[in-house]
Amino acid sequence: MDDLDSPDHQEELSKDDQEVLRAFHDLAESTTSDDSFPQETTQEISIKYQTDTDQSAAFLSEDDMLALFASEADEDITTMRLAVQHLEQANRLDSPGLKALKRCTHKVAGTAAAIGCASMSTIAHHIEAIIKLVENGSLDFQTGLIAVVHSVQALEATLHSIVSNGYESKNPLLELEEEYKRFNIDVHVVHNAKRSSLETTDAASTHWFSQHISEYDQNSSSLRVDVQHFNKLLEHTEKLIELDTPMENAQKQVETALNELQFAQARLRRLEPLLSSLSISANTTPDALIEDAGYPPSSLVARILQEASERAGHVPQKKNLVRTQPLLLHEAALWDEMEIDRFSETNVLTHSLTEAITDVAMATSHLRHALMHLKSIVAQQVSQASTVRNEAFLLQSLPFSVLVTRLRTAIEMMAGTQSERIQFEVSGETVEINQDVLEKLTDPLLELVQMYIAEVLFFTKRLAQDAEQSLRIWLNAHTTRNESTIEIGFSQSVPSGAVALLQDTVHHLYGSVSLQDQATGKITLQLRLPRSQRMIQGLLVRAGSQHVIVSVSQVKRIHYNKQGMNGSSSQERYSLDMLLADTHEIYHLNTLLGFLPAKNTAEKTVQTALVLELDSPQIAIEVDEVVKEMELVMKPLSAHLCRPGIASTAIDGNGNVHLVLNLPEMIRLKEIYQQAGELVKEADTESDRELSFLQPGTELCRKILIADDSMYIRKSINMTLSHEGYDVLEAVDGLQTLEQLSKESPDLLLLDIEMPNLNGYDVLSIVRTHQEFSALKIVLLTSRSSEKHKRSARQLGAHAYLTKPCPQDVLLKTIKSLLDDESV
Amino acid sequence: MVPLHGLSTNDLEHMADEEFWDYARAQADIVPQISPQERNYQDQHLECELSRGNCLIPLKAIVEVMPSPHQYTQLPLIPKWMRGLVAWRGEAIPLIDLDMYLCGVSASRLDGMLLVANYTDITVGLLVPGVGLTTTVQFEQVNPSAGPTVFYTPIRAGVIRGVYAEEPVLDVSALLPDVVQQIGMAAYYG
Repeated sequence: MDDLDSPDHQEELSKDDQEVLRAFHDLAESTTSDDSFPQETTQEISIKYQTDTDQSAAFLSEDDMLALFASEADEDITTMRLAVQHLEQANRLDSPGLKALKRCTHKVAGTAAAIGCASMSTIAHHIEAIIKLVENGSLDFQTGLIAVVHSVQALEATLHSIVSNGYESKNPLLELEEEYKRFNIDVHVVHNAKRSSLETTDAASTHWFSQHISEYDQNSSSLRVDVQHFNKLLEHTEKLIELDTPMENAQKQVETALNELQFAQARLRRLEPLLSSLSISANTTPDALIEDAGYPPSSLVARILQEASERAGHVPQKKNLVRTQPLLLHEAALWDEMEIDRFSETNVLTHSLTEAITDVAMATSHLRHALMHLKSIVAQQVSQASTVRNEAFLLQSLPFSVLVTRLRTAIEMMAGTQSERIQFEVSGETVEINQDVLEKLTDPLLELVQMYIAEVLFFTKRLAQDAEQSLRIWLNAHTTRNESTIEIGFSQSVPSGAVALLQDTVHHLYGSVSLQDQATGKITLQLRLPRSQRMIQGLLVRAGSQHVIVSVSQVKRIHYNKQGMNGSSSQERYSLDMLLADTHEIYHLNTLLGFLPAKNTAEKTVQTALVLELDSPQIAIEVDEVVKEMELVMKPLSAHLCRPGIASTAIDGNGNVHLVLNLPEMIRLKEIYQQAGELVKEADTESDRELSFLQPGTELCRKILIADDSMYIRKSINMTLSHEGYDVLEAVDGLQTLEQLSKESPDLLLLDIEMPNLNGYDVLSIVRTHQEFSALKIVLLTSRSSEKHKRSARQLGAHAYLTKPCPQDVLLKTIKSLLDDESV
Repeated sequence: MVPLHGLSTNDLEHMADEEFWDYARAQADIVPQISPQERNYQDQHLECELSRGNCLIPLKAIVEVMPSPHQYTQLPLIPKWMRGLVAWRGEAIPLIDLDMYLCGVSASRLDGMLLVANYTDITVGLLVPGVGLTTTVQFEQVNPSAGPTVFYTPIRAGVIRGVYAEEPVLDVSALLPDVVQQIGMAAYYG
């Protein structure tokens, strides 16, 4: 090995060059030196491998590795040339050629850096910079194109120097940089350029959307609405909806009052016979008492008679008194005011009580009718509020065809420059979709279509019989009461980064993205979005003392089991068994939220569970109670209160804050809670047994899957890891990675971000929704070094993030620590 | 750069010392004076009862004082001194146990008082066992803190402006941003 540490050498090389060489030196440490390459000169950096002769039989030789790199780089440069030609023909930037150029350039930059070809890597980075300058308008298209053509030539010349001489010449790079100066191109302002590029794109997109809406307005019988008034209308609609809870509460209070009244009535009724029995016992009182007093039994009657006699000065004679007999119970019913003097006090009281009972009964009956009327009015109000809300939605909506037109035009423009026929099939063009949703999805969907066309034009090797068939893109939209669903599918290969591209946007719109038919190589992406961005139709569920909201659109069905697993009813047992059989995993909501530790699996009883609307495997969330379905206004959380899996909050009419959960996202990111020591996974014993065969290999021979589109990177890492005794597998793209993961169950995945057929982020997103990969350790190994990428990787559940070129000892140490530490 | 109100830097350089100070004094008079009432309001502090004594919070930072809500909503991945979320004027705001935040010991029950505090665009609910009277504390009267006491842990020294009558005076401009930053960080680090 050349003495990289010598002072002379260090002076000649830049810090980056030294780092790259050191990384390569580390990478090739297990091999012995080969003297077939000449020593470096002042302007040239030699590329050397230290080959271990003992291992050379088992691994690729240095020449093989170099040939591999050269062949791969040559292929990439050819694709770059084709892409540039495509750009020249199209004469505009939004051509699929640009995508292809970007991808190949990125790949060359990474691979060249890894092998230590600093010049090639730098040229590739310069091309990336020029593209960004053109994109943000700092450089005109034609000049940029010329610069790219020169750069590709420089790449080719540098590669040629490697192949012919065995070392990388710096001259093409130096000459190229002189060219840039002649063209006044400053490739060092790229970061600023990138920012303004985004702004330009956003502005252009918004402009297009506004323009398209106005075109739509002209072509339809629509009415222009002032935005402020419209927002006020929405606000009032929300307040109307918010009144539902207080009205329901008022209704409940009336119901409670009615119950209390009925209870009072029942008590009175119980008193009536008691009082009657008292009356009967009064009848048994000796008549002598009455006779002695000389007054009728009723003190009221006696008092009236007494007063009358006093006024008249007449004292009634005892002997003239009519002997009155208290009425018997059955006689009391025949109440006669004219014979009042015949009634005792008890009779009067009993009669009053009976009258009171009748009055209460009537009041109860009236109240019951009033309550029924109130219920009917509340139902009407809720329904009316819902109608107003739907009408407000429609005011805010546009037909799906607005977006379709844009996509169709883009496809025609992009494919038109090629001989490819692209069939674009659409259904549901008249479906009304929220304007915000359409506006925010326009750019990602256009990008997706562009990616697809670039993929099939430049990277997919189509079979002869396939070439006869046209490529297909299908688009479908439909809507339910609360949800809009958009599906986009592709007949050929999967656009790399498709899921990652849409996921952020869709999550910001409180929706979800799922993949379908991935096994066949075709892909349909299903986007499920709430119809309104401010209202949510949700289930109010209780978990312990917490009440949270789960969007109705995320729940496939609700499982109820009255007696849990120990229930005696065979039907209930059957129902629970069905749930356990169909469901891959059951989480308790409180545990998932990190509020409670997981229950002992042996004691598990599932009372109520929400079965989620997800791809297989089926996942259920156990809750303590589904209280009711309700409609609430969503209140976005401040940035510092945002938590993974929590979409927003909603405040009910009683002033209670409810968390609005995004359960699929919460499950996907549950590792974040696990890392915080908050979540303990609940796993059924039986499920564990089922999973056991999926668990990765033995301690002695751990399997590692390398997913990278660069053959050179794959082979070089393969050599390093094989030397350390790992069982190494390889995958060239995202789809193959998923296949390998299912088939081989590796212990660790070394994952690149930039790959065809689903990129690294797509793979991460999918892996994290599949429980069978829960034990898999994932290390992202990429040339992307920004904090943004690291944060995204962490959020998606990667265990480690390494930047290429990565020193061999760092790579091995990271892998070892992850595989040794099962708690990670 | 401070505006020179028609004068260039060159003009200032050519001024005599006396002229310069006259000019400076004239410019200083342009600054609006705070009215005595305003000044008095700015100096008002509310005494809050904590488990280990009282502290003072500037009244101007307190938007509302109300009985503590009977219930709150738990939020995952939060510091242990944050109880959860409560609704205030149609928004969800964090409910902070001030005792727990300052000294790591909680004495604040849900039958205490809730102080809704605001600084720039940050609004939080501070839960305290009780509140006392308001006191006028002028800036000059606040003595530098001698160091952490039983009222607060060393890590909270940055949110204490000083001490007045042996009671720590909280610096809301440091307290609220610190609370927000730590709540945000807890989402990543638990």
